Amino acid sequence: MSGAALEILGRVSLSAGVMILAAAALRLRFGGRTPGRVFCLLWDIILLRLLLPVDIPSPVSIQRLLAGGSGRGGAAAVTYVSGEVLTEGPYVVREKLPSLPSLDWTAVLLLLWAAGMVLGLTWLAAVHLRSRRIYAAALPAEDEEIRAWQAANPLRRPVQVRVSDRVASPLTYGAVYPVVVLPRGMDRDLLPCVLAHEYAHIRRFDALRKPLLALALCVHWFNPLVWAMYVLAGRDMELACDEAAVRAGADRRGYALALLSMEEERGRRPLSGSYFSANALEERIKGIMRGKQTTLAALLAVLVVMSAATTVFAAGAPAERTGAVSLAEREVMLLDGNGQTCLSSDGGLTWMTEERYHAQYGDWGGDWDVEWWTYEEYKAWLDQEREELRDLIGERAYTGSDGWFTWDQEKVDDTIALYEEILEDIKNGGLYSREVRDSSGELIPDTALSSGGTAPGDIWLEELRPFGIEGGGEELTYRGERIRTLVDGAPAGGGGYAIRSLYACDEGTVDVHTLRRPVRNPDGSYDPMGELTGLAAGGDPDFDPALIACARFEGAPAAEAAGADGGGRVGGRSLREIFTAYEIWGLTYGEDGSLAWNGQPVRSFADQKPGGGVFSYENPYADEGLRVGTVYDGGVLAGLTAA
Amino acid sequence: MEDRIYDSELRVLEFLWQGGTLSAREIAARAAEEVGWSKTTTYTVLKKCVDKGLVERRDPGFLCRALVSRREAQHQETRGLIDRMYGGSADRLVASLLEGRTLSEAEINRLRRMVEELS
Repeated sequence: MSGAALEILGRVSLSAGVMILAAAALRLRFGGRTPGRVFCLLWDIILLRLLLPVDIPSPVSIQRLLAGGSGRGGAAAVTYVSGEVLTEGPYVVREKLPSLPSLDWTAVLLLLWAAGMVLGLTWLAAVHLRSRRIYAAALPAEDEEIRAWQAANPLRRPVQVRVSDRVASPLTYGAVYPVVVLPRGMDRDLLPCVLAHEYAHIRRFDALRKPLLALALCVHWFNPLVWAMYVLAGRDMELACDEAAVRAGADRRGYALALLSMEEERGRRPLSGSYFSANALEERIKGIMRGKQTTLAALLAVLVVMSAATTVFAAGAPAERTGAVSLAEREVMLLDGNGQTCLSSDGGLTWMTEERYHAQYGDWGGDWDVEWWTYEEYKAWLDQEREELRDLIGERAYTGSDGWFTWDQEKVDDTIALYEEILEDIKNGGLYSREVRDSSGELIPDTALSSGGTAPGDIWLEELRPFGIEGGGEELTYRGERIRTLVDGAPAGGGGYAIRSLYACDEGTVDVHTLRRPVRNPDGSYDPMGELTGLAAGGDPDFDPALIACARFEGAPAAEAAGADGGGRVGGRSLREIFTAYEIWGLTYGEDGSLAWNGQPVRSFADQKPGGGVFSYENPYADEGLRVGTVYDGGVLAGLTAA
Repeated sequence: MEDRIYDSELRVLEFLWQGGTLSAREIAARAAEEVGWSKTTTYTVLKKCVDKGLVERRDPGFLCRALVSRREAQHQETRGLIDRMYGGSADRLVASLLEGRTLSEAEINRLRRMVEELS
């Protein structure tokens, strides 16, 4: 968090610093001839840049989030599973931002910056209040002459003119109700040009501009260029008002000499600072005596810098990340379990590792937006959830961690206890992302399953029934024994294994796999799935366990495969995850298990890897269609080919 | 009473010289009407007067009485010596921090000559 804040601050300060340098250079080059008000415009733009951090990324940087270890990984996965299936509950991302064990320099810097800013603001506020008290005690000065002048130069805001023995030179304060304070004993002859000067301040809202400049100085106190800007902008405001006074008909010579006399008055007093150094006063006097013209060249140069500055201003937001869709747009979900973080960009249907996610979508920036639960919100949600959980008692349900079960009081209590633990954690600063999804949440096959429906009863199972498979849902049996794993696949040569479907249930006891006879296709290719010839219990020694592991989501308990509905959903997301690797070649895998290559239906897909492994897939829904294979070039997947 | 009496303080004294003993509230009302001060401003000035020993304030009722005569006050009030903070405003302080010096007589004379040359 502190890192992000410092980053924004640094970026803003740096880009504004460049603009200040440009403006100062222009001022040096053209200042003698170009009116101060032109530069004031320039300062205004820079001031905006200094005060508005246009690019406000989320204070939570995902890199930081992910870099900080796994938090309470295993438990998080449990929460996710049991919370998600039945109640569309909270979705644990990360509990706490990592606490840094050693000295955090960004925090130190942030603290230093904040301290400087607070100090500056306090000091300015104190000085401001003190001077306002003095100004407020000024006495009315309106006489005939002043009233006549005011009548001739009306302003929309009512302006008071007062006199004080505590100011050395004329000044104006108050943006909404402006008050001009004249020093007592001021030469009456100067009145018209002094009033013209002060009225110009009022008209230009300098009483507003100055505190904003002071604020920018406090925020960017570490940037010497901003200090320079503060001084230069102040001078340009005065120059702009001098120009107004001269335009209003003040006698140039008298006006310049008056400035000098006021300076002389000031110089007599010990301890007094000088507002205008010789340099600044000289600049003013030259400006008054010579007059200024907006030369075309100067104006053009200023315009160019101004537009460049505005562009920088607009581009301050990190636009370079156009390639990657922002994570917020893609609604990425994070799952943190078993010490590993997985991401999903399709609402939880498929999950992939960080590495793969990076490879596919590019790096993400800092603008990832997680909506975290607040304590109150989570509490409110939990109160509601308690009711809903109680209503569930007696219903059948399924979770990845527990397999099939019937909701009873104990289970409900356990679940609520878990939520309360999270609530306590949130209270103590834990971060939980808010992922309240509607009932069609697809993360784990939902309603049919949780209500004890007929999940795996489908085409796939129908094909197996003649060989001794009975039942459905969590009660799938083979010759009367409850099935633990059911693998429909076949050895595909080269040590690989082609998998069509998987089923798993923790409460089962027997492992079953299909026996298939490979057939040669008319085109000469080879279909490892061939014909189903029977089933066998006891696991298949040929079976490649890595492939099953791959077909299942890592860390999610095995029983999730009970979501099998034939072909598509078994390991539904895992198959999908596998297929995402081929997406760039035009292969698309549908949620229903369908497969298409460049829009054409695909009947079978086989990836014969050069290393010897094979991944193949039979589309259970397509009787005809392409048979797609892979082409390798130098050991690297180079494309797909259709038979 | 070595402190200089400011115009604003003289103005409060003026009310008391005219009206004798006045309550703080009465002074505030008159100041609002005649000088356009807010109540806060009046009380601030009044407090300064009390601190400087120009005015005596008695409780209850915050009754105020001038402790100096008009002549004494006018005698004391000398010209010049503007408040050290003069402008007192923030920007001037910042600027003086950065530009930090008063102009010497020589510099001012040089600038005067420049005005004459340019005019």
